[in-house]
This record gives sequence, C-alpha cells and structure tokens, in this order.
Amino acid sequence: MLYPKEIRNYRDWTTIDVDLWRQYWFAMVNRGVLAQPYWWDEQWTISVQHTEADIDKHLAAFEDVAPGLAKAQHERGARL
Amino acid sequence: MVRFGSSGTEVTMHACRMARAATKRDKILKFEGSYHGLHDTALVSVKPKAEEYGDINAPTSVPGGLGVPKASIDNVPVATFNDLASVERRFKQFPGEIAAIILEPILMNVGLCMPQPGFLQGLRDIATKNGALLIFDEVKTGAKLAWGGASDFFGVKPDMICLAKSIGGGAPLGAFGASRAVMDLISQHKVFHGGTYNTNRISMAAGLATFREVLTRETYAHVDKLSKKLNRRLPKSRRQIRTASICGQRRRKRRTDAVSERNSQLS
Repeated sequence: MLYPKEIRNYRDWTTIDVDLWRQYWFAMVNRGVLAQPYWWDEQWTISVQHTEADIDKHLAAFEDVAPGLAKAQHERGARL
Repeated sequence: MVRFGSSGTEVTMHACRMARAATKRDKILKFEGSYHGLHDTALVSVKPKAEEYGDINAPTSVPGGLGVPKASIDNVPVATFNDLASVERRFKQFPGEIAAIILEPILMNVGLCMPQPGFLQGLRDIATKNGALLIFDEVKTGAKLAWGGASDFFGVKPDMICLAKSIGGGAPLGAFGASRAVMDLISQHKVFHGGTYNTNRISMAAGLATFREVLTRETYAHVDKLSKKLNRRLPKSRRQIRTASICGQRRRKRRTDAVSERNSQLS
C-alpha cells in the first residue's frame, strides 16, 4: 500500500497516500502488469494461471517504477 | 450443512437471518470498514467518512448510502477491527441482544488488513461466552487464501461460513453453512430459504469443476510458490520506498509454510 505503517483497521487505511497509489497503479499497467483492480482498497491476486514468468515480469516492472515512486514520496513527505 | 445461493450478498444475508433465528436476537455486530454485500444489515459503516464515524472505541453506525432503514442501522452495532475491547463494549452495551459477530477474517476492502495474533480467537471466545454466533464471511478468503480458507489458515472455527466469488469459477455461486442444529431451522420451515437460481446446473457444474480441477492442493502449492517468490524479491525494489512490510506478510508466510507442510503430508 506504499504506506509506512501497518494497517490495523479501517481508519488507518483512510490515511494512505492515494495519489502515490494511483501513480503506482498506472505505472504498472503501462508496463503490462495489472497487479490489482483499479482501487486502492483492492488486493494483489495471484491466480492459478500465473507462471514464474508473470512474477518475473511483475518484479521487473516494479523495479522500473520504484525509484520514481520513492522520489515522489520523498518530495511529498511520507506521512507517518 | 451447506446450502447454496448465487452471490455473496445472498449468503451473508441468509447467514445473518439464520443467526437471528437461532438466537432469537436482532442485532448483528460488524466491523467498521468491512464489506459483506448489499443487503440492509451489511450496508452499515462500509466506508464511513471521518466527520460521521465517531469514537474509534465505539464507532457510530453509519448508513452505507441512502435507502437503508433506520431500524437496520439500529440493529447493527459497529466495532473496530483488531480491537477486542471495542467488541466487549458492545456486548456489555447490548446484553443478550447480539445474535452474531460477522467479519472477514482478513479485513479486505482496506487493501489488506491482517488480524493481529489472538484477535480471531478472542472473537471466538467472546461469541461463545455471550451465546452469539461467529460468522466468517469467507467470500474472498475462502478460496483465495488457502485450501482450507481462513478458518483453516488461522485455526479458528466459526459457527457459520459464507462462500462465493472464486468457488463458482466465474459462474454465480454462493454457499452458507453452519451446524445441523442451525441449518435445520430451514428444513423445519422455520426460516425461509429459496431462490430461482439456487443450485442451477451451470453454477453447480462450474463449482464442481472448480473444486475438482482448479482449486486443488497442487494448484495452491503452485500459487504459494509464486507468492513467496514475489514477496521474497519485492523488498529489493521496494527498499527505496517507505512502506510497512505488506501487512502480516511474515506471519502469513510462516503459517503458509505450516499449511504447505501439512498439505504435503496429507497428499
């Protein structure tokens, strides 16, 4: 969830950085990876149809996306 | 015993009614932020706004949209997930009135919120102590989390279970189950259960195929392997981003290992 704290209840979740999540979601989709449905209340799902190659693709896409997200998060100041 | 319906909404609705019938009580306790479908009992405090949700120790019951009658809201007290004290407080506030606690063992629709150690067992104990039923809404966790669902994964047995989504393999299929004593209320025509599409051939065939061909122990082991690889390798990319480890990831991993081991012993 790109949030520095563990989510323990609903109210914790309402404080997550939604804009950063949107950046993450579109960046992944633009690299061909639909990690979760479009909404920040959804989860990643691995299907029985997925393969090792899909996981590699996911990891490679995230490797590409992570520095930009880290920079954006730093600039905005991560909320704790 | 298990009976079938066509959606998650339908089966959580029946589970709540069965609990009310079995206990002769009206109130259903749910957790703030939990989603259990679209019927009046479920549409309470699903995504309440900060200006209306009140004290975290005793959250206000907030309608999840227009058209939910006040009587329904009054019958659904709300507690905070991972906070047993907020649950105890509701049972003290409404002695002998709460028929059931309904929850997803992992709170979904807030990303992912794992139960803290002892939370589910605590709910089990509180429900038993107060003569209320514990309902696990496993519409999501039932087939996605592990072969035996969350009840098996966390080792806590509910009084009632609700299943849907994945179990139909894409066809509309839901199921709710409880002990014979509870489900007999339907057989005795004391609680009504019906539905044109219940146990229709297409959904049942799809459900059988799903359990026999898709959601086998072997495929769970396959998904488990992929999940571990993703979790193991992600932190390398993630190190630049400030984030908590994905909720309960390590706990889940340990537990998954235990489940996998047990599964391999069984197979």
